[in-house]
Amino acid sequence: MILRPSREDLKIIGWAIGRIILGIALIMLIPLVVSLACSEWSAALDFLVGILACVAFWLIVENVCYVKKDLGWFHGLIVASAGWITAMLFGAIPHFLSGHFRSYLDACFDLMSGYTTTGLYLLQDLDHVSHGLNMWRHLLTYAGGQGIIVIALTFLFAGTAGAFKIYVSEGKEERLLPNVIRTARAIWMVSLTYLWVGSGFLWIALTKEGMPLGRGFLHAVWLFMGSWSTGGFAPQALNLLYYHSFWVEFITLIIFVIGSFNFALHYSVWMGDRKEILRNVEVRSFATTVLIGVFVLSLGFGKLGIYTTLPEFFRKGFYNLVSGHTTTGNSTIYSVSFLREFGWLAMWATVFCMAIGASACSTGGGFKGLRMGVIFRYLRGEVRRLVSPDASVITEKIHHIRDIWLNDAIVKGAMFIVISYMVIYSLGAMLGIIYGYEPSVAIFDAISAGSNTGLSAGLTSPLMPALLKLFYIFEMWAGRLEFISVFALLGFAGALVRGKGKRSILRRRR
Amino acid sequence: MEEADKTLGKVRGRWRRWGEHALGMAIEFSAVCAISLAALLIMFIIKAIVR
Repeated sequence: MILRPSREDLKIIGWAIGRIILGIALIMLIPLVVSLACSEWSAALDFLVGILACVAFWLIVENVCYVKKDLGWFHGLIVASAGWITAMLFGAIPHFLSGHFRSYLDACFDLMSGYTTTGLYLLQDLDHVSHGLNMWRHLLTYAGGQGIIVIALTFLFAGTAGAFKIYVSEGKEERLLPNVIRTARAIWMVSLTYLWVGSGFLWIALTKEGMPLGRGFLHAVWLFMGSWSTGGFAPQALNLLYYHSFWVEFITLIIFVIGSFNFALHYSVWMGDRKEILRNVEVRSFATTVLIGVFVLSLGFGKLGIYTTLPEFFRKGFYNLVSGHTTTGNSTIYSVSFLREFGWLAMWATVFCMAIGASACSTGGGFKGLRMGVIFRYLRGEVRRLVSPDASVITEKIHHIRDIWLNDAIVKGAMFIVISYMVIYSLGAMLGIIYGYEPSVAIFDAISAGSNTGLSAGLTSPLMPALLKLFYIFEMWAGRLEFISVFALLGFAGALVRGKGKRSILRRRR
Repeated sequence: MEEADKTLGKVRGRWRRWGEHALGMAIEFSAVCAISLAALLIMFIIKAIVR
C-alpha cells in the first residue's frame, strides 16, 4: 500500500527548500552590487525584486514549515528535485524583468540551463545585456556547477544530519571528508582557488588582446565561471569566437577540462596523492574516449580536406570536441557549422563525446566516465569469463580514489543511469523530429540538453515550440540530478494523489 | 617563546599546504596538456594516412 505523505513530511520538505531559496537570494546580492556599481538602476531594481520575492518565500516557509525533526532519505530526494524547480522559478524573476525574454518560460529555460551548467539559452540580444544580468547568468552557472544544494549546505545547513541526504540526492555521492558539510566546503575551496588563478590568466590574455582593463576583468571572471562550471555561457552571442584569441581558447580549454574532473580527484591530488591522476578510472576513461573522438574527427576532416593545419585543428576541431566531451558548450564555430561544415563523421564524433560526458561528482553531465569505466570493465570480465575454464573465478575492479571490486549492484546502478540518459536523449530527439526539425539537428540538440552540454546545431532558439522548451527543461533537470531524485519526486506526487493513510514517511522509516 | 614557535609552525604548515595545492594544480594542468598532445599526435598520424 502506498502511504500518503503527512503534513509533517510536507513541512520538512518546505523548510529545507526555503533554505535553498534563501541561498539564491544571497547569491543575487552579488549581481545587485555589480548593477549598482555600474549605475544600471533598472537591472538593480530587477534583482531587488528577485531578492525580496526569495526572502518573502523563505520567511513564510520558515514560519509555517518549521518542525523539530531532521530530514529522512526520501525527504532529501524530494528537496533536491523540487528545490531545483523552485530555485528556477525564483531565479528567473530578474531574467524576466530584464526584458530580454519573450516569456517567463524562456526565462525559466535559461535559469535551468544555467543551474544545470548546460549553456543553451533563449535570451535575446545577448550582446547588449547589462553587466548585472551577465554576472547573474554566469554566477548561477558557477553556483550550479558546484550544486545549489552544496551552496546551501556550505552556508545554511550547519550541523544537520539530514544534510547528507540532500547532498547525495543532488547526484553527488562522493564524500571528500567524513563530514558532508566539510565536504561541501572543500568543493568550494577547490573552485574558489581555481577562480582566482583561472580568472587571472584570462584577464592577462584578454588585456593582451587589447580589451580595456575593467571590461577585460569582467569578461575574464565570466569566462572562467562559464568554463569551470562546464556551463558554456559567455557574455557575447558569438561565444568564444568573439575573442579570436588562441590564448583565450587555450586557457578556457584547460579550465573546462580540469573543471570536468571529479572533485574527489581534485581533493586527492591536492592533498598529496599525485599518482591518483594516472590511476583514476575517470581520467583514463576520458583520455580514451577523447582520443577515439579525435581519431574519428581527424578522419572526417581529412576526408573533407578541412581544418588540416595544426592551429585550425586545435582551435576548431579539438576545442569543440573536448568542449562537447566535458559537457561545457563553449564554441569557436557557428552553430550551423556542426551540420554544414563538420560533415557527418566529425559531427557524430562530437555527439558521441557529448553523450558520454564528464566525471561523476563534477560540474559536468552525461553518462560520466565512472560509469563508462564500470561498464567497460564488466564487459571485459564477461569476455574473460567466456574464454576461461568453468571453475575459474573472474573478478574485475576499477580504481577511483581506492580500488572498487565490481559487483552486480554497481553494474546495475551504472546501467540504469546510462539507459535513463539514452531514453531522455531519444525522447527529446523524437519530439524534435515530430516538430519537423532535421533528424541530425534534433538528435544533436536533444543530446546536448540531456547531457547538460549546451552546444547547439541550430534548433534551440526563442522560436522553438513551447512543448520542446518544456521537454528540454526536463531533460536538463533530470540529467543533472541523474534521475533518482526525479523518480522520487514523481513517486511523491503519486503518493500525494493516490496514497492512503496518514502516517509520516519519516515515522514509518523509524 | 613557545607561543612564537606555535605561530611559526602554523604559518609554515599553511604554506606547506598551499604548496601542495599548487603542485596538485600543476599536475592537473600537465594531465590536460598530455591528453591534448596525444590528440594532436593522432591528428598528425591520421592526416598522413589520409593524404
